[in-house]
Amino acid sequence: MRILAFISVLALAVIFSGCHSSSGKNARFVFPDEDSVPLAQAEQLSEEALDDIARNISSPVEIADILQRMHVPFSSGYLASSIDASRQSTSFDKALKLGILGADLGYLNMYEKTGTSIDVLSSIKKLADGINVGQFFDFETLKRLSLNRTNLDSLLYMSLDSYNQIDKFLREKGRGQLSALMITGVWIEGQYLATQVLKQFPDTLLRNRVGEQKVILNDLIMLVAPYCTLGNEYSALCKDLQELREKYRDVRITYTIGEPQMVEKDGALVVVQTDQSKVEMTDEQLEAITVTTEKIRNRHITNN
Amino acid sequence: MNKLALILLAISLPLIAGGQSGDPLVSKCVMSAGSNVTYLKDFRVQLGKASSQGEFRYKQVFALSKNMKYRFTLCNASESGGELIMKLIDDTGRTVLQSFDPKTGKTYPTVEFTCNKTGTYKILFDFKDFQQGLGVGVVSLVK
Repeated sequence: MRILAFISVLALAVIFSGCHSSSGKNARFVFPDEDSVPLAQAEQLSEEALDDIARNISSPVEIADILQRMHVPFSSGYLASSIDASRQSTSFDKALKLGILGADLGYLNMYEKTGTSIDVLSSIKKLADGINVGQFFDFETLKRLSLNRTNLDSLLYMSLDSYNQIDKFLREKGRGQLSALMITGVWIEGQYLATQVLKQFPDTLLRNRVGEQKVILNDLIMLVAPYCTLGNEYSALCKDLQELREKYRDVRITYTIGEPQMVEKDGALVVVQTDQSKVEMTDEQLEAITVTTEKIRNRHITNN
Repeated sequence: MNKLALILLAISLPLIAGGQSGDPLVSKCVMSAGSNVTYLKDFRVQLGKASSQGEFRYKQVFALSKNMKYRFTLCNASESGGELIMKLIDDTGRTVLQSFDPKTGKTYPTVEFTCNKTGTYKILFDFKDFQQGLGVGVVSLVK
């Protein structure tokens, strides 16, 4: 009877292991211990406080949009091609690189380089499977959409939606540290892309965008802070972000307040914000930010 | 979005529901976001009737960037008691926009926002007159 009960429990566990809506108990069975954050650490930043931190930090789509407006040509040299998904052993590596490749995927898709994006998608799928969130990537459909360039909007939607769902799922399942890593990966790669492009194609809009990341970096540091004591990898990443914050210390952002202008147009409300932000960043500061960003990003993508 | 892409998206979304949200209301709302936009995020809002009318009950935080134009598209399930409405509040607590006119009661299903200050913003959702409802808010980047 006990054996039968054990087999039944095991069978149920296997059945639910691939299920998106698995319960907390099933989730505990599937996920390795390192995915669980001790309560004391999680409490360092309350759930409400964490909810006050944006999850869409530095969308790669937005950066790619700026690059296209600047008429910057696509370059595969910016991609994190050295990441070998099958050689990532820890959840930390898998989640961080899932973010880095997510940013690359956004960049590729925005430039309609859908052929290359299939390779990136394969790596993303492997990494996602490795932290048990592969169910959010319908690889076959994404691949089909990639092959057919008329479906670019669908491809962009599905890719971004998959990441949004993974983030939500990880947080709901008490695996917020992996979600934070994924978001950090996206941000680091977006920051790398922007700073590298600036070296070749100086542009005020993009330069200001890099300067304004001082605000976003502070949010990112808060997002990661509860997990800095989880292990060496986490503490090293926290130090990296602090080092970058140090480079941003003397970058000044000032604001002038204005009243938003609102008009109705074709049944829609159109609002233009008249607040203005002004970024003051010297060439030396930008150089230091660029070098530090490159160092951090390259260490993470070569440390397979 | 071009028409062909929209049709293909409409056909493919239910088929890919296995690993995805599969929420027809989300799909419908993404498609109704219009042309020349890139989807960024959706918020599914489901609320009961509020016991008192005050603060909007569904809150999310979103980073918006200077020199970007965003489109907020608001959609409702047919059984909703009120229409989905939203407010955008900046990091100083100032209301930057709201999708309804409190004087006339008029609501807008689409709001376009030109952002001139990078930062984190609170997006607040509720249903008109704090009714019960089910709705979706989609944030897109206007190309």
